Amino acid sequence: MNWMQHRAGSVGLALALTLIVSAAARGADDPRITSWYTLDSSRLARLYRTPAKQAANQPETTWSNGRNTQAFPVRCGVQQISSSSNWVYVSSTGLPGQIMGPWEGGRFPNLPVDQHFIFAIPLHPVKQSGDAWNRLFEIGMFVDGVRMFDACDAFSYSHARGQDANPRAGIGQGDGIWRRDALVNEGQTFDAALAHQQNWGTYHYHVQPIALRYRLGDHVDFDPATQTYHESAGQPRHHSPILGWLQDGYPIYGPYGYANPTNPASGLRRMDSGFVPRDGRRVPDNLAATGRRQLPAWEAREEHRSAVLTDAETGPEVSDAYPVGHYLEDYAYLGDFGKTQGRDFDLDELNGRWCVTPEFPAGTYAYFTAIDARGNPVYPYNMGRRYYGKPVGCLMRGIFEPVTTNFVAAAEADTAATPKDAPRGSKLIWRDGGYQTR
Amino acid sequence: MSPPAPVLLALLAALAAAPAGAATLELQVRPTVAGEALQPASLRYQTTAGETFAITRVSWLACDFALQRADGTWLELGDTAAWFDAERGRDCVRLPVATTGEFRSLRFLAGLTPAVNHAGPDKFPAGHPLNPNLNGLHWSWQGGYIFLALEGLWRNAAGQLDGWAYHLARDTNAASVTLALPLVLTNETQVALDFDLGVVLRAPRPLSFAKDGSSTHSRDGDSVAAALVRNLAGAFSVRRVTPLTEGEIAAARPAPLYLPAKFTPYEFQIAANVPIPELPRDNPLTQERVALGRELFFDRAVSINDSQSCASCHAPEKAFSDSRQRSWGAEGGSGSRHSMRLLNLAWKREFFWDGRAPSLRAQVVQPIQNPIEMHQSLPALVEKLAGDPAYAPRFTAAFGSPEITAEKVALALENYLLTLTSFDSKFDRAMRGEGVLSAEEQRGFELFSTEYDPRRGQFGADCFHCHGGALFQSQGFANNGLDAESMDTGRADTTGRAADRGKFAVPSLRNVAVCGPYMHDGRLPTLEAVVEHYVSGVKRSETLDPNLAKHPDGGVPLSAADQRALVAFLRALTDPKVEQAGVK
Repeated sequence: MNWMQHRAGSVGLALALTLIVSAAARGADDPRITSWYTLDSSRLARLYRTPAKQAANQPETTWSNGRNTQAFPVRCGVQQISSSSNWVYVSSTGLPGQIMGPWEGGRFPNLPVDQHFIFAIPLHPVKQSGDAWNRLFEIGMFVDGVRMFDACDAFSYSHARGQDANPRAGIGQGDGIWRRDALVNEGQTFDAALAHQQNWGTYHYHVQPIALRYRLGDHVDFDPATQTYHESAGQPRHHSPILGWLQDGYPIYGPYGYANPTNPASGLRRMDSGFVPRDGRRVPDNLAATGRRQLPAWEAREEHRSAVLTDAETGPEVSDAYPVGHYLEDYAYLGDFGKTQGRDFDLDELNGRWCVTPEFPAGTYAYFTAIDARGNPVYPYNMGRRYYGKPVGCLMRGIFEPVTTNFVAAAEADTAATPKDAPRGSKLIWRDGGYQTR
Repeated sequence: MSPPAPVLLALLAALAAAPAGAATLELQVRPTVAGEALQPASLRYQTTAGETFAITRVSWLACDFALQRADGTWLELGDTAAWFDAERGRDCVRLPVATTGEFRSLRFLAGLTPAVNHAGPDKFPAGHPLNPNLNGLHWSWQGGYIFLALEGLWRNAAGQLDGWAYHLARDTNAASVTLALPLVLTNETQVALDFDLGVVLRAPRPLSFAKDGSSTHSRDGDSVAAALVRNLAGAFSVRRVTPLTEGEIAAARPAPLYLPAKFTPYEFQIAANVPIPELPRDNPLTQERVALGRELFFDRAVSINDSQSCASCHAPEKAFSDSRQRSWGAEGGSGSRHSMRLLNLAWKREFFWDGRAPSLRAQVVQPIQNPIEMHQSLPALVEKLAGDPAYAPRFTAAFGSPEITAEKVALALENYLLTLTSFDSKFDRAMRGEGVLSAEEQRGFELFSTEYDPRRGQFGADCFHCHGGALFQSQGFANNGLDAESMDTGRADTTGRAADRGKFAVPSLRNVAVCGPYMHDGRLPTLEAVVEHYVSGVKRSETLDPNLAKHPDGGVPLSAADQRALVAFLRALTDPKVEQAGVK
């Protein structure tokens, strides 16, 4: 079923954030249904192709670079929310409310396009038992309907070639061992929101969604002069909101949680991830001294293998081209060095913890997006290399069971928001003996 | 305060010296085949594969002209762009050269640089080579220009006449051309180039319509486009270099006719993406003149027996057309063609279905006098209007004196007709982000703006070739296959050329849903019938448009659902203001 057809067929005007709740729907007050950010759902997705367009405040609602084409204006993010007794289905265009771009000064070859997918997440998440290996890459969806990708950029070191695989090298994806950190290696292609899109146009975040945090009021400022986002000064006054949902059905919050995981009155603090660079400063492990000859212990656990690498698996020596932090494997988990979660740091190796939150006063497992004291994203960004729960959530193209509709984006586009974006025509007026264009 | 004398003298000296160091290079390009001037629309050429073909259209853009100095460095000749078109006789561009001297090569880009290609179709003034309304080479909804449009007919293996259409476009397909050109440039010099279309289709990469396909629209990985780019580089040669003795005589700008001392300029509003039209300079748009023209348009006194006004056969709510297949004249007669719609005429050069009127002022007086239409002589009309006391002050306001003449009637009607514009529709609102098309309408638009090219996996309906651009029209005339042997010779009546037989003006598809019946003779009653014609009713003939001739027999294959989608899209082109007859 095409969700657009479904949407067109629905009757009634739903206001942003107003949910049409059926009494029969179970769990209709579940945050998995109510946390979605729909204030922009009736607005049109916009982007700046170039810095010049951005400087002139000339966003576009349709675009094409010959490779990615958005021939029709499309609305932002979440368009419909439906639920059954076990599942929540969120239809989204995948495009955010903030004006996207420009990327890499307008030179980045990909443009975002409408993904019109349905994200299905389990309404009753289940902790996964054992130490299952999880396939990552696309790991969840933020509450504005934008995709969440993991910390990798899909490329890794090729020992045989003695260099990283990358989109331009033409040597495949690499060995899969020394995997490139997306922020370090692709960060220059992120827009001000810290997002970009892959080659078929899926706009996504690898790291903290700073523009969404700003829209959600999560201790972020926006500077209209430079069109950039910054962590607010001073102490946060509120627990961070839910930023999104991972495929296992557990939430990811902004960086600020309760100081004591089980006490909402314990004050707020920025959640400290358990990962630090293997540079000899906070852990004795120092890649510059040892070379990249051993995996961190957490990685060996994930992969069910020995930490010691064969000669053909070693990574490049630490250098300006391959600094510590270049690869995910360049990080150590403090728990493997005698430090204790809850005392020395806040988050486990999955980048979450069991805690109470405003939405889950009885407690939940929750991930927290990781930033440093200056507000910069830090590894592992949104999630470690494994899910806490069974990752049964997925993208779907249709809904194949009876559902209750919880939200439908207002039928009419919010035209009030667009006229200033619409290109104006010109006037020809006879003046001073000729036609003047105005 | 005046500058001290020495500075002034130096300034004068500099001014005097400037022209002496500058020159003009006039580049004239002649389309040829195998060294001989192109014979358009003549089935006399052969591909390497032995296919007989004709060339009916050669239209292309160039920019980035540069001359190489004797020392090997390049002198860029500024941002002049050029448009060459065989049919329109556009064969020349004048390039200002900042310094005289000795040069050894000429370089230019056949195509446009990305910056120019995406500057926006509405950025170029009327008359500029890149104004889409002038060159007809802009793919509005896709963005960017066609760099080279090469079209024609060919005889396929079955001996049938088939069409071919090679449209080279997209930034990566601009072809750089460098020619040895020993030249001592002193003043004005004309360089005549030959553009050998035989080479474009043959060397070094031979193209066969049967083997390589009879159309390209330059999508990624298109081998025909790649061959064209490769071949273009070697298709130009220098024929002659001639010093010119006299500079170009600046075209005299016509002075406004009868412009009163006091007038209110009419603000001619055009929508974004719409090219700037060439409005007549001798008949400026003024509110007074437009108002008078409107008065005349709706005045029944214009017909011999006061029974009809222009609006009788050009009803505003029908996009200024008539729902009758053939309109009735003032005395009950009727002609052989359907009443034409009158919107967005400012972007047309030639009027009537056969284009016999070169201007609106020349056009408007014909139906007035035509015996089967209003059948009124111009002197009788002038006399009648003079007898109506209401008109004298209106003519005074519009033309500065109360005197009524047929010329002023025509100028006023021309003013009014030029202001009949329509840019709004559900489609436009969706494009502006103020609304959304239904899935069916979107599918229709996709079909509309996609080519039919099974070889490359494209299964569109090819509509945009003729009805492209922001106005969904082109200035051309085309045979759309209504008849194998047209009873109405159409455009050929005006041009006297056999190659124009059965061709009629390409109408705008804006408001097409309200202006039926369709075709020059109104033979098709509904949009469904129109789409069906292009699916199954196209008849082959020697003048069938190449973009239709390349389709299978009968037309472009579309499913019933796709046909409905096309119709749904066409219905989304209706301007609410037109539908409500608000245009008056």
